[in-house]
Amino acid sequence: METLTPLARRWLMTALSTVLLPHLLVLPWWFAVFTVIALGLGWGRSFVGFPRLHRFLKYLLFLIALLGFFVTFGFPAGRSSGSALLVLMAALKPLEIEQPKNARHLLLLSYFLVAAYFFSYQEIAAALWMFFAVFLITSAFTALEEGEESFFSSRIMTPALILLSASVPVALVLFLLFPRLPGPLWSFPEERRVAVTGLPEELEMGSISRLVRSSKVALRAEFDGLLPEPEKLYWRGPVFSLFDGRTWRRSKDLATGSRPALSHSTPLQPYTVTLEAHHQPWLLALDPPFSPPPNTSLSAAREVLLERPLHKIYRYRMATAETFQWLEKDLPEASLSMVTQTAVRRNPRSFELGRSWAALGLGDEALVNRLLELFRQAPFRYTLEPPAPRASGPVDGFLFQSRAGFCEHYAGAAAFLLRAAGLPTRVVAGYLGGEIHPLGGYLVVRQYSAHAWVEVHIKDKGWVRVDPTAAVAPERVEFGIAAAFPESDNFFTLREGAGVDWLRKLGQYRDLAEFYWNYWVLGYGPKLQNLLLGRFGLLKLNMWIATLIGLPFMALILGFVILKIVGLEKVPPEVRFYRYYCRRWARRGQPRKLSETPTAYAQRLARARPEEAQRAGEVASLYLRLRYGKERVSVPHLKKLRSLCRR
Amino acid sequence: MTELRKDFSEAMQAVNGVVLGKKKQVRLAFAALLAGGHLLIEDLPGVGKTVLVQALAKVCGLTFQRLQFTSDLLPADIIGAVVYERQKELFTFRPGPLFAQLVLADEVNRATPRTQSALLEALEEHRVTVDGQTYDLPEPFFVIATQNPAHQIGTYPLPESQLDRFLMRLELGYPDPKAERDLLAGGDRRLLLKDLLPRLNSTSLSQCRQQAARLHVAGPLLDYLQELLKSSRECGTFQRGLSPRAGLALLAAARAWAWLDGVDFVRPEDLQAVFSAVAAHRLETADGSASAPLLKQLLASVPLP
Repeated sequence: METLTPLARRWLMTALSTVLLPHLLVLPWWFAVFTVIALGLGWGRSFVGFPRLHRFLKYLLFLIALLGFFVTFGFPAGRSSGSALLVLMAALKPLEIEQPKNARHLLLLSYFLVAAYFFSYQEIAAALWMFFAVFLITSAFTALEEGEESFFSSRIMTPALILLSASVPVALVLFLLFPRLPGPLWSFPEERRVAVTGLPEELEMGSISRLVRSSKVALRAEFDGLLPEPEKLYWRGPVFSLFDGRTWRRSKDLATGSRPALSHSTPLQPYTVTLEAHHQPWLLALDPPFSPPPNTSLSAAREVLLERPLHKIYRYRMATAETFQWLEKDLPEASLSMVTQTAVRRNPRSFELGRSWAALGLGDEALVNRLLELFRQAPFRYTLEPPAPRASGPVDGFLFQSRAGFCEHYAGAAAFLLRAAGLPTRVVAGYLGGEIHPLGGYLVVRQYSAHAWVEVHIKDKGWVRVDPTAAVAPERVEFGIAAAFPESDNFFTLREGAGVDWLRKLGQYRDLAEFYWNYWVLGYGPKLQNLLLGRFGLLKLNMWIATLIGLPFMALILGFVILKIVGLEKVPPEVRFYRYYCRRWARRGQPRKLSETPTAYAQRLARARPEEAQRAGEVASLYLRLRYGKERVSVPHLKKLRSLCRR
Repeated sequence: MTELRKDFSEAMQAVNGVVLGKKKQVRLAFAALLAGGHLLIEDLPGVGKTVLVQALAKVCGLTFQRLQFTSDLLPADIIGAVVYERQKELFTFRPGPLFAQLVLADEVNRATPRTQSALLEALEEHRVTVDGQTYDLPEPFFVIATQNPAHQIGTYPLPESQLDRFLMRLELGYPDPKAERDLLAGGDRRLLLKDLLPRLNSTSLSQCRQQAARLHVAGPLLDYLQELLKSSRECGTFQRGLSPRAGLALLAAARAWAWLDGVDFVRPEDLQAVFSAVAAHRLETADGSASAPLLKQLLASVPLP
């Protein structure tokens, strides 16, 4: 029985470790630790003298892995749990691999594990890593076959390079021409997501300011016409109407309820958004949102909602307008109670303050001004690190103790006060502003532009946007977040490249590359495919036509593969080598006759080329032994025949 | 195994010392002996048929009988007959000349078909029946029949169906000039025969036979054999193709040939070497011409994978 050479094992471990690394970054920490330990043991086995693990120790490791898996995921059926299990078992597998056969199985599985990156990563870097991993896996296959002595041997890596470069055009053609389907072919059960940067599902004090530490891209937008002014770039996300004294929540009823109509008095400004996957059902849209994309719906609170959370990058067209009017100016009874509800018990002092404003008998708009006046006064500060409030209610704590906070503090407090004063109010989360990419001309909105504001329902006007942050830190609204925190905050000064020009340039190019990646690779769907094929004068690739073309093609390939496996002539390796040998002699003017036996042929060759006589005899006798002999064909014999036939 | 083969090749060499310039034929004759089949030698008188057979019998240490066939020979003359012994007052079976380990049936086509049939039945069954009583022939039992070419006067050519009782048919042909010179310069062949020593005996011979019969035959070789059989049936040059029995005969002969070479499996060249000798007398060409050159063509036309 053949055993794995230390070198082959080292290649196997190199490939496997490279493949598993990106998976480790998204797995729960103990998975990562366990996998690293298992890989370490696997690496150890590639050195001579490292003891073979006892059978029971292997079982123990396996049981621990399985137990941990079930504790973490329960009895799951999902993709992240599925790939987690694969990762665990793949990491353990080298401990029991003794033969090249099994190593090959593991390497084949590794290809699948590489493809599974796409469940977690869709960036360019991940794609490059995939290439690297595939290259290593393919090299490891060669390392299993060749009896090489050195790890970095060109005989191991060259075939992989050749194969990989030969497959690039095929992959490209398949990528461009393979029919794109509008929806996913299959779907996985939806899963709980862990630690994704993005707008929160529920708003608490601090949930927006957390985001501000991240410079991850939230969305990119291209405008058909001129870009709106920065202070108008309110990207509307989830709307929070329910408040329990501590947390703002979205109302599920409003998601389906009737929505008041809206009309625009200036022309619509269309734009295209490429939204990063944020695993939430809402889309981001400029306020006010018009003409939502198909397969979305507008909720009663004017959120643009998808049917299910967005798990991949998404590109859509929408429009906004400079000025607009509500056609129905009255609030329906059902939503009225919701948007005026307050939680008195937790924030009694704030409630009293709001009530006192109501007693003044001011008009709706005067009330709003009264509120903004309050925030403009001195002790209120705009800060990313508000001191922890001591009061039980967050609104009381903010308004009467710390008086320092970020946009969600101001928005939350404003909404509470206005509700106490009797005005229907809701909190809106989203992004404010964005940066224009100097090379791409598109707008980049990053997580640190996350923002929260309120909408107040004013009689005879309808819902009106009020941004209390504008009162306390107007520069935030006008010039962006960095302007609001000039030198005091390292994050923003560092991010700007601290005046290092090439660093900033580099960042710009990276973003541009990402933009095109999103557009051409991740966003390459049926629409773009039709567009592209149409431009090249190819048939307008309707999905059905494509399927009709594609299916027979696939059937052909499948049939060929099946025939190759079960039917047709199966040429044994010794015959292949011998035929190769005969072909080589034929090129040198000595073809084998149709019925000539190997011995007779060898004798003829020996007569023609006496210096080759010995080898010809060796080839003939070895070939005869392998093909007609009694003992089973063994690998060393085959290798010998191959080297004899090739030299 | 090697010891046996050494004895065997010594025996072969000894025969070659007597029958000059006929190495291939001698080897084929030994192969037929090894494969347990009978041999038909067809050629003109005086080319050394009888000497070959006698030498063979001598070196193999087999009991030898010679049967000269004539047109008035009766079956009882070769098989034996029941005779009345007056002293003992009973009938006893007196075995004929067929009861020997090696029988030379000289000029078998001179006998009448009736006698020929009696001989050929014995070849097939390895026993004879006289008056309802069956008598086993000795083991090993090896018959070498010689036949003059059919066009001579007063002959009854053996029918096709009986020809295939013989494993092989050999043609000796005239010796080449050098061999003929040696023959003429050398002493009397019959005297040389007397000096031959037996190198084998019936037990060692049967051991050799067993070894040869056990030789490994691989799938690809059987593929090749089947291709040959198929081609003989489909090529159109022959009235009828080779029968399955012919296939078995080819295999047995090829095994014996390979054993003589000292290998432990049958190679395609073994099959090719015996092909013509085993197949030629079983095939009748469509136009009545000799089948041997056509067989060479056939052999060359079937690709060896």
